[in-house]
Amino acid sequence: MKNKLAIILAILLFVVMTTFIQPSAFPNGVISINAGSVGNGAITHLMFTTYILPFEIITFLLLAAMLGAMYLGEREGDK
Amino acid sequence: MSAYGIISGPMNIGAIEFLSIAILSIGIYSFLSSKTIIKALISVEIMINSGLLNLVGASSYYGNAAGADMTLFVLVIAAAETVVAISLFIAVFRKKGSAGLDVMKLLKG
Repeated sequence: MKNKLAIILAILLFVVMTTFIQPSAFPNGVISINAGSVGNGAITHLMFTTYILPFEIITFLLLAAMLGAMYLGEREGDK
Repeated sequence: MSAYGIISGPMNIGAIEFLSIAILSIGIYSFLSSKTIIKALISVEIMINSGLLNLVGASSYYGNAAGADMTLFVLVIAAAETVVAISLFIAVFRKKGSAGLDVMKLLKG
């Protein structure tokens, strides 16, 4: 029952997205060979200049996630 | 010179979008029909990755590397979220002795 509903919903989503949303998103969109100016080091350069603040925030997020996992995964006995 | 050195010729972005939508549908079906927590988490990861695939395609289409950067950030955040979710479910398992998705009915209060 639940499985059939899941199949129906997933197929409905697929059909709606491929028929209505996908054709209008990128009309005759082709990624050409010379697509823009994204060179080899562009991603790293952006990450360490423009997006340096999100990068640092993410380091603290990872630290918080690690500490939270250690706290939640702690056993009752060994303190 | 190609966009990222991966795509070696003109590429239809509609194909990337089609693949992304297909993976999203598979993930939603898998999430809706999952009975265990691990399967639900894997389904959420599948859905996130389908969105990221679409994002990388659009980034390559516009020749803008910011989309690829955001993809990396979202990957890291998704990993942290999965870690927190798994540790929460481990805590629930210790308290209740089971960690199926039906145990989460207890959250109704």
